[in-house]
Amino acid sequence: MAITRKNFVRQYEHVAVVAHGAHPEYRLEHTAPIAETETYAAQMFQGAIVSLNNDGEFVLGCGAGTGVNYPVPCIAFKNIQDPDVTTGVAGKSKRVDGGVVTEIDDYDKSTYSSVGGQLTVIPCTGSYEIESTEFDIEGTYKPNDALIPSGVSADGAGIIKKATKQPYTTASEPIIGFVSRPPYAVANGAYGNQVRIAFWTNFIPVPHA
Amino acid sequence: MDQVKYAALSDEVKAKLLSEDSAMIKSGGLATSEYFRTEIRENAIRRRITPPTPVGKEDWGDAEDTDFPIIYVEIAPRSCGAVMVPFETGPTGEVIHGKKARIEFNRVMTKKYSIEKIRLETYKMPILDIFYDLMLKDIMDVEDRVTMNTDKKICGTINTVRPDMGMCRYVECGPLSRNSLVHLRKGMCYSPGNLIPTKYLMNNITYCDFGILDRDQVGGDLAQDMLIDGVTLTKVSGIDTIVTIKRDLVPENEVFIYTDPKFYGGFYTYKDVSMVTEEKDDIWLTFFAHEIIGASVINAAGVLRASMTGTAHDWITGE
Repeated sequence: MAITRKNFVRQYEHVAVVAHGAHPEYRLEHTAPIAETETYAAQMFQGAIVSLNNDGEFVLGCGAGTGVNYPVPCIAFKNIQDPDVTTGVAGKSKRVDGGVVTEIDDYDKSTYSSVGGQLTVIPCTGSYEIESTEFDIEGTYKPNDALIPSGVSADGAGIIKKATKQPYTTASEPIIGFVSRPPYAVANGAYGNQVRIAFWTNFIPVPHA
Repeated sequence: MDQVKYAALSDEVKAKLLSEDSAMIKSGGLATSEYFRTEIRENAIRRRITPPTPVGKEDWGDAEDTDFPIIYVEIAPRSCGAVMVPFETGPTGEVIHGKKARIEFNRVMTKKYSIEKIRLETYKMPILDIFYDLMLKDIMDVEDRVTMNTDKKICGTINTVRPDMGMCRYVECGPLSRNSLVHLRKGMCYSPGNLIPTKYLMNNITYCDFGILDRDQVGGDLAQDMLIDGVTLTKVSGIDTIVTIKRDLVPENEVFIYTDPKFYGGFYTYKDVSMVTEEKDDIWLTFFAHEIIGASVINAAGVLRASMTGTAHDWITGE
């Protein structure tokens, strides 16, 4: 049996598009580094939800915040594996000492790049109609449904899904917007066959004490 | 002045500002008139450590997963050594693996400035030329900041052994003296690959401190000359020495030691710095500058850092 690549991701498989809104030169956007502590940074695909932590670095998804701190959900407009985001190679090698094998960083297998490491996003505080491939395909959606991220700094946290609670009620995640067009197939488009959801951005934070 | 003329002006000024002609860099190549300045800016120190290698579209590497610009560079392989064997026996097998590295690119961009043209006419100084100069300096400051951050990350914590290299990449050498300079000189020689130092980088304050070395430390009349004429060394211990005013990037009493760029890494420019000017409605003039660069350290053993403070710590053990 032929062996094929299974976890190979092409740049155009994860897409976010500004359907309506300002041209890139004039639109509201933000660029910041990705938190080194973010375990799930590999899921920061274009179209996924990310938010700034207290250090001004991006983490996957968006939480409720505390006190008067309300993390703003943002839509990633870069893929984590884009070569202007993830650069260089952190090489590893194994060593053996007295029969004990350990793995260490290896400069000889590493390339240290001085560029990259930053993600550009569109904050949901802006006025846009966004199309994204990064949503929960198990859900059912109607126009005007409220949308939320799937959590924060957790597996799958950047995926957009339908809200389960009304705005201004106790919830774990903020509202990021409202469905403008339910999931639809883009056949043979600029990015090939895709399914996207379209929504108007609208940030409604989670009320908390 | 129409847009074509603005563009021509910017190209001419850019060429002068990027020139390696020291006199041109000093003056910015700009027309002189009666105006004052409040700061001195410096061109890129990175471009003196690893001279830029221009790349063109023919150099872009092909990648299946992205259409963003990348290039591939090749790294010389190593051999596996030889052994003494008895007669009537054959060689053991091994394979050759050449090594390659991918260099990624990013854009560096200034703010987009705009001004109503009538306001330009109220200035006697060549304010646009001055701004072009400042934008170039801003871009070069970014080049220096990101690349120095990488070097600092590689060198790590002071007096601490980096296990994969079996030595410290950053040690205290003791206050400036004949002994500390010799200790400084040895660092790169301990590096994996038997590298040799070819450039020192220090700031202008550290450089001034060479003037405290007296006759019994530097010998001859150099001590007298440095006191009377100031420090004019271009080499220290036979190593070309780069002096910078960018003290936020190269702290006082710190020296970065580089080996030859071919054993260290590369700095790549795509079309170098572009000046973009636009004139609109015969009223507005907008302009900004940008460039696309790649900067990668291929061999981390090619950079070291030393602090000319404390007591000398061993490059190998950190003790």
